[in-house]
Amino acid sequence: MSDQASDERIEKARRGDARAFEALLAEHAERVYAHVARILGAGPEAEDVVQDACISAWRSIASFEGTSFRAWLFRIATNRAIDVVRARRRRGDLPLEPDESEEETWAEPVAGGPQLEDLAADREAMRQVEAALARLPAEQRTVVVLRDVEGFDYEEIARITATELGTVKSRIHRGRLAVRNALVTQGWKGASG
Amino acid sequence: MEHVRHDLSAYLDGALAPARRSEVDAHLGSCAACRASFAELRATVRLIAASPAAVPSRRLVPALAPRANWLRPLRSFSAVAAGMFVLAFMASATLDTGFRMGGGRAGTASLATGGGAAQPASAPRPESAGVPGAAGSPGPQLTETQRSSAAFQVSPTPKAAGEAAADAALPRTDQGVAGAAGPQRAIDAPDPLRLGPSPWFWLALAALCAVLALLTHRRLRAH
Repeated sequence: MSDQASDERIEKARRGDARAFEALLAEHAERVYAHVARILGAGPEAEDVVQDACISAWRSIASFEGTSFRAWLFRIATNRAIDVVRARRRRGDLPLEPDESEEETWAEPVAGGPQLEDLAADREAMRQVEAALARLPAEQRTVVVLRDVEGFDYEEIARITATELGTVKSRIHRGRLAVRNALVTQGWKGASG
Repeated sequence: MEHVRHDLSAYLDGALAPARRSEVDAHLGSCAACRASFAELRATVRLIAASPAAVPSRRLVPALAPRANWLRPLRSFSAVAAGMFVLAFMASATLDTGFRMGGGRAGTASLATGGGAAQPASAPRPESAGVPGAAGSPGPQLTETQRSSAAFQVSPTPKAAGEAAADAALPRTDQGVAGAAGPQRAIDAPDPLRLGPSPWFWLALAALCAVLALLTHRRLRAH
């Protein structure tokens, strides 16, 4: 779908054209779901969050004035997903966020294991990556996925998550480091440089 | 020497201020440990990017636009119509087949009771019976259906049956004499007892309605 066609649909949707808006949603819904599923875990709850976000976006499309519909939709869905995470935390289903002022640690690689660069085709390694991502605090996981999977830049991520740019930078770095440490402690060797 | 590990992610993403970026560049050129850390971080980013995406189990885009209300009755109507046309096809095909089979027997029976005048039609096949006119040139041969159809038209009385048999035999004699292969009168005669159009017509209508029902169903499902 070209940017021009998307812009036309956005304009139509802002004038109340529900079909144009549905078409816009259809372009992004699966990616939004994949993102929400990485925050909450795949399943009906993540699907409900995406559907709620779609309805919420439709109700407020008239006030949309940004340049990126995709970023706007991700922001609505991310906020809803984080609300669910906070509700889980209040119920005691999730541990509290770790202190972000803690010193960062780099686990020492074990000699003899495969190099990190060679793991992309390794299913077991991909499972470890997913598990490591799942263990990250939700806020950290959210920004790492927004950056490394969805490709948003730091400023967009700051707007989507409504956090300071410095916080985004720090969370992305710590999140990546945690995944790297998880892999290294599983026996994978760091790069030689 | 101060390491730059803390800035490596932002460096990797091009999110450092130009001055700081230059410092990190210079440091990486001289520090093997930070270079290794940078390579690990870059590999980790690639792995995260390659992690598989979850796929939803249901349609996520809610139906916001008003739906076409006429689709639902159209689907029902075309499905029912398809079923009725199939029944019509079966009935028509059954009657048609029954008529042909029954007609063939009736014709033979009536011809058999037709006395001397019926002899040519109930006699062995013309080519083997040695019909005089057929000896020189082989006249057109009637199929079983054509013969039974021709015979059926004249079944009411033995006398008429005899005339029909004579009519059926006549072209062979005529053509035998004339040596021409013109169409036969009995073949061209319309079948007076056929029920409505051909059974295939009903089947075609049934297929058409079934396709319509399927298309409307898919459209409704998509919504």
